[in-house]
Amino acid sequence: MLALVGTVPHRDFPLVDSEVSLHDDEVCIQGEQVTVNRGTPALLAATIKAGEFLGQPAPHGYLVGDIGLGDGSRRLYEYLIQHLGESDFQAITFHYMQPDIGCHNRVLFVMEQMSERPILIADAGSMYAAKMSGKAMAYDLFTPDIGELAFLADEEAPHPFYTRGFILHEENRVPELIARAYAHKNAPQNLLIKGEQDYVANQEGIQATINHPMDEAMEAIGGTGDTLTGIVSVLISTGMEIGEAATIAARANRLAGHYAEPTAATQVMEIVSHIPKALEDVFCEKNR
Amino acid sequence: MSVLGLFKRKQPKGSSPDQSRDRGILVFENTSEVIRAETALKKEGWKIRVMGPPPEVRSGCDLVIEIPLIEELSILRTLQAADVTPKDIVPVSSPLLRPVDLFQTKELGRYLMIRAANMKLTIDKRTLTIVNVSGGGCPDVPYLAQEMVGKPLADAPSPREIGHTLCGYALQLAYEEVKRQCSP
Amino acid sequence: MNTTVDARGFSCPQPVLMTLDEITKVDTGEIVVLVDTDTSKENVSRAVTGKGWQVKDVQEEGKGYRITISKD
Repeated sequence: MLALVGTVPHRDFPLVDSEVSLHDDEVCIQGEQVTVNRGTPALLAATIKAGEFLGQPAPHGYLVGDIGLGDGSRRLYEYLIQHLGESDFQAITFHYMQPDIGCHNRVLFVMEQMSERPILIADAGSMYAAKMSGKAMAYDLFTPDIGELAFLADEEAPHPFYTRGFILHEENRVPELIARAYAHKNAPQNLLIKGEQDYVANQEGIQATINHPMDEAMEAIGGTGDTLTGIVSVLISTGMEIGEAATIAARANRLAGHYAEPTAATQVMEIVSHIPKALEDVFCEKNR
Repeated sequence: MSVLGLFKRKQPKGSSPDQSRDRGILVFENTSEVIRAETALKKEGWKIRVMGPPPEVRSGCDLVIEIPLIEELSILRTLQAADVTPKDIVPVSSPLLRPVDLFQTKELGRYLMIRAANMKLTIDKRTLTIVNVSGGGCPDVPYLAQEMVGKPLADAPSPREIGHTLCGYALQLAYEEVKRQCSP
Repeated sequence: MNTTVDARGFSCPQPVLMTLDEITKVDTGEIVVLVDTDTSKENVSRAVTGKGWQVKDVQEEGKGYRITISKD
């Protein structure tokens, strides 16, 4: 069973802790709805669609409203500290949360005390918080884009906004960035790097490169990274090995995007609707 | 008058990151600005600390204000309303770091995408409408996208006006660069 | 005509994938799926329902289950 932790961009959205479902273009949880768009709602929608294809139970959501003030995130951090220890999720994905070292470390501590430690996946603000806290190695998977990989590689940068120029210039030198991130212990056991090409990597370097189909417009579309994180989270929660899950997810995300015939103005829900077919085709390819 | 905090010793390189990695420092021209800023920020409920500057920070003033770094944009707005502008804002853990000032421009047919740090803003070149916002990880990013996407560049609120975090600040840089490139 | 998918001994998500593969080949009819865990039984049942198939019967068999699914 998979849990997803994140925020929605509505200040008054209450803290909710429940199963998530998708109706048309709205994510529904505990009587509340939020339209699918970039951010944690896109992650949720992708997870649900991928999970439906794989016969998985609906994911569990821990969500709260936060428009960047951090108030919602801090309430959710506190809630997780109180309640996460009682759960038995196979995997937990941490997503759009206000980066806060103290709160992050307390949540991580709770999870590390659990008798069956879940697989830990982080993206977005949660990934920034993990790196900032010096605890990247406690995680099983991050899903950074190339700019965020440069941030992971810059041992000095507390946030991508402060990534040093000479490291950003190396954005085409992915192997060096990966190596630098691991050298400073700022990367988890596995990396799924999103970009013009997607890379699956670990401490030993790049394990797989996925680059087709290639639709340039995908980079401009808000939420395509969130859908990738959603797909890989579901695959991992089925028990699939992380490297394999990452490779399949990268290919499926590209295919789903491709089927949507994207332009730079495409919105992410159009891509989400193609996820089941994309997964079906990827698994068919594998079985041939 | 606030109490001068203890001088903060810089962490030696290679030591495990301490709790200050998510903190920043506001540097001001003089002490009266520090006091005005401190008053304004505390009034808004910000968790801040007045302290002596680290050695890397050259300042005419022997006081700086430590702030939550992530909420830099929101804090700047509070200060703007109080008519006080810091000389500089730097991360506590690495005071020599500067904000990213590199932009990447990509033409995507009729669309133009500009990347600044981890944020990308895309507009329709013909209509000058914002069509997409991507990247980032702080909670104001989906909120900013919600408020900006679908609006003409001239009418959309700027991230500086309604954003709160460093991701919002990065989007502001992308937004300014888009405006610069698209201005007649 | 009845076909059988023997997914015993396979870990998640293989039983689902094997069943979906068979569904794609036959399109309609009846398929028997053999699994050996509760999780696989539930996952297969959910996945096939999403594809318009019905779970006609579930029987315990040995240490696992025999699931009969059908579509007209």
